[in-house]
Amino acid sequence: MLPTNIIAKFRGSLLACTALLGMSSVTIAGDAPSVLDIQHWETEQGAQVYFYPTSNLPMVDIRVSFDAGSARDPEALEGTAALVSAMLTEGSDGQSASTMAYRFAELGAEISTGVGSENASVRLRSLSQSQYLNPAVSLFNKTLSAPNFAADTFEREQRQQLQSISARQQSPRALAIDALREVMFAGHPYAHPTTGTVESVERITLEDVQDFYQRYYVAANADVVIVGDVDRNQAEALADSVLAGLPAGQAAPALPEVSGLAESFVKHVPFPSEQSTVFVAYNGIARQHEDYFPLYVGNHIFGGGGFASRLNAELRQKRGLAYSVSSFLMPMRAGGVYAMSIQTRNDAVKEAVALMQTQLQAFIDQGPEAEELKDAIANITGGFPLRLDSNSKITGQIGALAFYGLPLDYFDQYVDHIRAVDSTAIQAAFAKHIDLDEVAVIVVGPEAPEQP
Amino acid sequence: MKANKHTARPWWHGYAAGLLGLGLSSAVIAEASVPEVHSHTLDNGLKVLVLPDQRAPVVTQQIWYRAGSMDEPAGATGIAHMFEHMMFKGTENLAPGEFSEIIARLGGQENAFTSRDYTAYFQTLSNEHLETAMQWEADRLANLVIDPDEFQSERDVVKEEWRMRMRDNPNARLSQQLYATAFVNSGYHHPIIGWEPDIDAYSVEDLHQWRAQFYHPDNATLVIVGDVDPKTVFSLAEKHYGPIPAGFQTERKPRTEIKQHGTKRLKLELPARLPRLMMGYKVPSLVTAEEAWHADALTVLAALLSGGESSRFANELVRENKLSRAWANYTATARAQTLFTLTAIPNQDQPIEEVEAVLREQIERLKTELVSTEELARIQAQVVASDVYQRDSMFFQGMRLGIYQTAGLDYRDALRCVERIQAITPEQIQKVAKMYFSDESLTIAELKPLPLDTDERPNVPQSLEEPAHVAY
Repeated sequence: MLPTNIIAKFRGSLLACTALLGMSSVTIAGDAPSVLDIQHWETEQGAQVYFYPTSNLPMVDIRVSFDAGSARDPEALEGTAALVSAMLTEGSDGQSASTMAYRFAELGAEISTGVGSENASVRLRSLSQSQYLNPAVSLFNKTLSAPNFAADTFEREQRQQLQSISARQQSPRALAIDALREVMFAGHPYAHPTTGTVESVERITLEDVQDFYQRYYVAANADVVIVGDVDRNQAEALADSVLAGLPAGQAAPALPEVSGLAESFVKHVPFPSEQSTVFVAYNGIARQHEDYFPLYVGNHIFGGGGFASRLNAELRQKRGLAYSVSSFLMPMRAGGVYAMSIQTRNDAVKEAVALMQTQLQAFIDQGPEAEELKDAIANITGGFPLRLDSNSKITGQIGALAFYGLPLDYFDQYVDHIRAVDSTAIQAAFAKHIDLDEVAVIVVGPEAPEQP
Repeated sequence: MKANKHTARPWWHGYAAGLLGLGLSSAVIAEASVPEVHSHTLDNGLKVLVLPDQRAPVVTQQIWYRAGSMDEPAGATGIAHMFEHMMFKGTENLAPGEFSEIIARLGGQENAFTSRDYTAYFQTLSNEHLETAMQWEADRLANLVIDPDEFQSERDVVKEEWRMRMRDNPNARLSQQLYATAFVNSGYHHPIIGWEPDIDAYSVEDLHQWRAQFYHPDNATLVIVGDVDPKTVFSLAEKHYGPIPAGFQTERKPRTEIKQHGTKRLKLELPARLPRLMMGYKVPSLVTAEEAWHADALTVLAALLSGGESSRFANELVRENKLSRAWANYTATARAQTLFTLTAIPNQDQPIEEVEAVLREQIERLKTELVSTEELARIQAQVVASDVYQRDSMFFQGMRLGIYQTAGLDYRDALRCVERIQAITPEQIQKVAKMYFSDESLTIAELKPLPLDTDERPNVPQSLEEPAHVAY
């Protein structure tokens, strides 16, 4: 949100997928009213709808999400999901992309698409007055249900995607994330970059795009989140209008479980930088795992809690080794990763990696101190209102809840779950899930790291 | 998330300062009820702006100092940013990092940022804790301690930040060279993060001087947005910031950029994958324009060219395969003469001369052809709607007020921006295009990729700057 021509003191969360559900619950004493009274229903076609009314601003956010991320890419055609997502806004219902864009703009409506390894979403933001909302929803529906998929557009979007791949190859951070996925999810559909590779994208045909769309962009494979200034009846009508014309289809089958790293591994990606981008990664857990809360709170103390975390204190504040150092859980549906991350000058990589590993060892051996735990719980619970203070954030949080199949009262219960975490549980969860002997060290920079 | 895939960023990107505004129709605005800002100035000169927003029990405190990288002296470039880092390193009452820990325990978020025009610090937290945040923000203004050891270690952190943002980022280095070439004597010449040798040479004394010059209540604006009562906020401001004495404001040198005579060109050859072309025209801002509508018309122009999927660049360049990507950028709230930039990523193997020709054709059209009322109406509709959408973010609302006030504009102008944008006519757009998009004030910067396995270091002595080829 900040313009790029300003620079900040430290940087926020690491990977978009980890930011998804970093939430906690509100501090309300006594008979707590519902924190976020989410209404839920299923459409006749089998789509799951989640609705939260707000009335302070005359606007509505609608987010339709399909289980159609790059994990669903066909074999050898990596990058298909991203190409499908990009093609949705390139013309629909026989109308050109520019005609569609002009009509959205005239209504003041904004449409955007997004795709990751787990899912693909299409969002509409519109004014809530019916003279703007109704035509905007109609356009949105055509975007979802009647994309043109024209041959010339396909060729252009394919070229654009090849350029995106080139752009990633000049970003140390993007290269490091690609390597992390490749190593930690080897053999799993999460392993490849969402944009695909040059070879795979060149192989994709328009027919592949159409096939993928027909299989995954169906009602039974969709979650719809509606947040804004409409009532329940309007929301039900909106959900039906948005999905009209999409076949019921079938939900995508569950992905195989991530088997994880079998033995320690060092991966060096040569890059002519003055600073190396480093991940030190271990097998982690899936988002729905029962140990999520102790790991979440523990990670907050260790390296996920920003400026006050241990990693930041030791590597940045005490030693000036990095501007950016942290640790994160990457919990996905079918498994996960636990990783530490640093960007440091090339000649400090060895020292930094050793320090981070020593810190993690000590954390697992001794667990958090009582004071640290108290502060972390205070931070997570006290920060809850901030995670839900705008329609945009609420839409994102409900979207994540829907995708991971979390209970509707998840936000109401969250504070209790966080407060129930104690030092023993954190230590036990870390000891159980983080195996220090199975580690992947990934370095993007000019010099190869030593074997662990 | 690809909000705007062809133009690479939303069209309001360049003027996050907030020109977006009111409505498709006045009805939209009326329903959204224009926010009411409460203003009060303390005796020591601190301007306090309060914008109540009751949607969540949350508040954001932002303090804006009129001290950005443009105010830095030669030899100490980047000191505004270095100082910003030191503001987290302890006071007479708090240990290094303790303010951050206090905010963390309260569940708050905090950070700070430095731009060419300002430095700002913020905390966002539950509204019951506003006073704590105010107490310690005031404390570091009044009682900052600059410990030499803390400074040394934090300078290493800044150096790592420089490596991450600048040294290892070819696109950032291109933009840096564009500004350094376009501006000769203005404070916009050097990068916000500073030149590397200057970062290496900072002293504690530099930091003390910076503080003495700029960190005073009468050089600051306090912005509070959230579920608060303005009267209470004013009395808390009086209690915590009121006792801090006003500063001795030295007159700033104007550093008005000297006139440019002819197009400047530079080529940056670096290990990279994608070539890139940037064209920057010298233009006025709301602060420097002879008439404010010039800046507003430039804002509309930027939206017209690259304001999202319905813009000219998206539809006439990218969708017509003339360029891979292109966008325009303009900051209307700049404190000095600034650049209106056009940035393009060529198609594969496209000659860079062709990229320039394609962009120039767009510029020429603006000068020769009047924008249709239909196209203008479309942009204005977006402006109206996005003014409503932006109220979804308390933080953004605060930023908009802070940036305007700090730039020396009236914060009320921020609230009037939609009316101003709506008043812009096709004739005015053509007129500013003719006035400002001239070869005489143009700078063109090209990034030419070298293979990524090129080691650039042996060719470049450590003490030298980027291997930029500058031709005037």
